[in-house]
Amino acid sequence: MLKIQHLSKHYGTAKGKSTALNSISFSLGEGRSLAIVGESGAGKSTLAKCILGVVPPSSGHVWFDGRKVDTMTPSEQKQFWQEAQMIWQDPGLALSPHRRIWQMIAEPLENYKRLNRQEIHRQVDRLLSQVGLDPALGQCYRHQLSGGQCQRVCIARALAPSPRLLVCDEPVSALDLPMQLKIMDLIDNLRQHLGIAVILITHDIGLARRYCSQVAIMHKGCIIETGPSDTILHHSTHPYTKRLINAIPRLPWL
Amino acid sequence: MVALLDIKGLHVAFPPWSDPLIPVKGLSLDLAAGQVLGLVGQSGSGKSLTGLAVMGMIPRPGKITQGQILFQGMDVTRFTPAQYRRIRGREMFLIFQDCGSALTPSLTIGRQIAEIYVHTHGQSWRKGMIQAKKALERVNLPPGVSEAYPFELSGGMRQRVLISMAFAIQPKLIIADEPTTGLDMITQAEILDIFSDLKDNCQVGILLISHDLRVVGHLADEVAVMYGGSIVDKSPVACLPEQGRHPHSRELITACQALSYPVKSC
Repeated sequence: MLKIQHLSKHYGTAKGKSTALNSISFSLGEGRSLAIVGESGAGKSTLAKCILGVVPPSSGHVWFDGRKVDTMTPSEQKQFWQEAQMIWQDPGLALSPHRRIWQMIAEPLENYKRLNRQEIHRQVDRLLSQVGLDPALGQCYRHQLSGGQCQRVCIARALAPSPRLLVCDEPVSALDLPMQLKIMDLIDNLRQHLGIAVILITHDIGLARRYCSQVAIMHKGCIIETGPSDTILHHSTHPYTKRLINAIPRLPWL
Repeated sequence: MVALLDIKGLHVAFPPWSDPLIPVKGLSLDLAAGQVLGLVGQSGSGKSLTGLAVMGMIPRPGKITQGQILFQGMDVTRFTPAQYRRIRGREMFLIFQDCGSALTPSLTIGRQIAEIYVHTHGQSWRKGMIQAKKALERVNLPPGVSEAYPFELSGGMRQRVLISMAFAIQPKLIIADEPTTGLDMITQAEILDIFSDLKDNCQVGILLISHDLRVVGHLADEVAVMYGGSIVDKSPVACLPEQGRHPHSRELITACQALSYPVKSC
């Protein structure tokens, strides 16, 4: 479904050219999950933006169902964004402070699906309960919700256009540990039941192993190792991957 | 022997005073020199306020309504602001989560560390600058960092600068409030190693506040689980899975085990 070929991205800086992505290639099938793991500055978020066509690549291509994302016309792009959605790291910043929760979830329904008002209200309630929230919360504003609830709202909003690909950029790193697990369980359930492909961008290799069958390790703009998560974690050969694995805090009782 | 820090039945309250909000409700804990006590709990459980209460930095109009905080046997809740200034930053030191805001943006890093040697240890500026470079070396930062301004450094580097200040001050008590939140795993592991160095070599008591039981489990000797403003479980770190009874402790342990696993050092 998604295919990335020799994708590179350079940013111009005062000191010259800085390379954020260096010839990245991988592909992802329908309903599959892939984790992209690396430290800050590895180029993970730039990769997410390139996949969604928000940032144009310097060279290389992103293919979605045989269509080139980087050369889409605006109307093709709109169609593409219905099928590929993004979840951001900071759920508070991704929601508007001036609008009620239900309005933000209704917006993609109005834009993409052209439903009537009654049907929209029904869909918003359905989406809110799908992500484990009380539909009555639709009347709230963002500041009235906790971080975990905000992230659930973001997921509901991303689900509204019925996407086939969900790119999650550090979706849980702003939340505490039990909440991280609940949100990731939710995303994983949606993947299994709705057949949505998930790209999980994270620096936490423990999270990657638990929720994704495939892992790609990114370092300084390159994918240095990729494969099934258990193989990568137990039989890794690359020194950087070993450093990542060793960085998981040791627990005295494990 | 007097405990380094002994908190007894601490209540912190916020107005309206007719029906106050009490985010810290009857909290008791103690910490010995050279020991690391981890304080874990979900967001809003009152962890950070406990740390601020010890530092005498509860945001107004909040105040301590009941209880005692004994630091080396002295009840700091009765201290005047002037008395507090004498110990804060010298004998007790706070490392914030948002380490950017703890550094002055318009002074170089070296100058800010040298200041400690000049004002706390009474040394000359020239000597202070040399000592500052040594302190930076101690936390694995290149000496060139002393000429840099805070905005030129990454989050991990700034956090290390703050810890180097702790090395310079040699306080008795460090309160580290979410010191690795927002950093990636590799940087987090490096910071935790530096904390272990600090604990082993400086005989300092560390109150480590975090929502991540993995971080606490790695570094702390004892762990206290906080829920709704008081401590619901307290045990040596290794015994928490057996001794943790409170549902919130169980939830933390499950989450922690799901996201880490025994890995042989490779």
